Amino acid sequence: MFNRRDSESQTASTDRRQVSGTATSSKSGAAFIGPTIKIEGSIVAVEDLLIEGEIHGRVEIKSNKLTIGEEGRVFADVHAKQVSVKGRMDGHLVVKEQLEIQATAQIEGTITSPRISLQDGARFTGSIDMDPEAKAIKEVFGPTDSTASSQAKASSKTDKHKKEVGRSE
Amino acid sequence: MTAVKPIKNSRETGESVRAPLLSKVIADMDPDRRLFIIDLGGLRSGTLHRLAEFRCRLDVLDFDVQGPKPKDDADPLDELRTRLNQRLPDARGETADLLLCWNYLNYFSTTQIELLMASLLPRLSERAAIHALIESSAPDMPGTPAPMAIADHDHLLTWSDPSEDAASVRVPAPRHSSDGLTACMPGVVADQTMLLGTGQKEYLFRRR
Repeated sequence: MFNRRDSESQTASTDRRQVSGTATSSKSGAAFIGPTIKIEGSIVAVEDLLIEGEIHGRVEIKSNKLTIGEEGRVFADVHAKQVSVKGRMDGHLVVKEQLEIQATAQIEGTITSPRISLQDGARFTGSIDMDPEAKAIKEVFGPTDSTASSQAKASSKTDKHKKEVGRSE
Repeated sequence: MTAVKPIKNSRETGESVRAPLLSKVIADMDPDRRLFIIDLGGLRSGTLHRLAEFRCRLDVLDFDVQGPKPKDDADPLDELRTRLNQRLPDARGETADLLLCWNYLNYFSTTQIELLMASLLPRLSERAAIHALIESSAPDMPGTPAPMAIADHDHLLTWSDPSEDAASVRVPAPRHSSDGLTACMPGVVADQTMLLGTGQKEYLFRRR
């Protein structure tokens, strides 16, 4: 299913998979699941991944970036370091660092991410948790990183407060 | 699902509306405390950007006011109840500090508002605030709620539906009175009201 480089650097375990296409590297160098590929099961990767196909199950890319392309359809629980969504995503999304929701995205479910950027036009129904101390982040990525993220957020708030105070003075 | 683009005063930025009561609610939020907000409207970048300053959970209902066309024999209240149940995420043991109604209450009858609040009040904390904008002077309003978002510390931003057909459809504004609203929202009191330059009234309700 994946090309040779992909299979060497990632673990891709799928249960009851239905594959009708090819997976290669994308232009960005990320592993690529093409629009004709449908996977039912789990994907575990340690490199960036671009999904343009259909995934049912679980996607775990804890130290890399996942991109759900415009044609991508992911009905799964997703754990990733960074995520960019341009296509369809249904499920629980837990992001360690940064989530980008592009204007073409359609998301339904729960999102937990300390930082989120959004392009208007995207559609979302569900629950967004931007608390760096959120239970889901701690459960998936451990407490140390979320504490660091919280401190970064607090520092950002302090800086912003200082700027606002400076302006008002 | 329809994407919206800002038009009205500026095609790039939308129309700015001053909303001092919402501004005060947000200014009073404790950045060190976890906050939970329920938004009847759609997810907007301005709102997300503003709330990202807090340890915040935001439940987005993206409520389709007109919804799927009710069947002829269907009870409209049952339809509303069903859509609410479909849209409301699992509470996960938390109660919300703020309910953002934007301009949605204009599109509900008092009976529907009563049902809406009966469904949502158990999701709100005892100190929760409910924010709403009510048409109070204009005889009519757009056929669907104009999307709204927090623009900055004092203002909201509103857009119109980009399609010409949608822009031309106007419906009568119910112009709910303060007494009428509180009568159909048991357990809630109008804490503060402010008349805005747009002819809308900004309401801040609190649980009794």
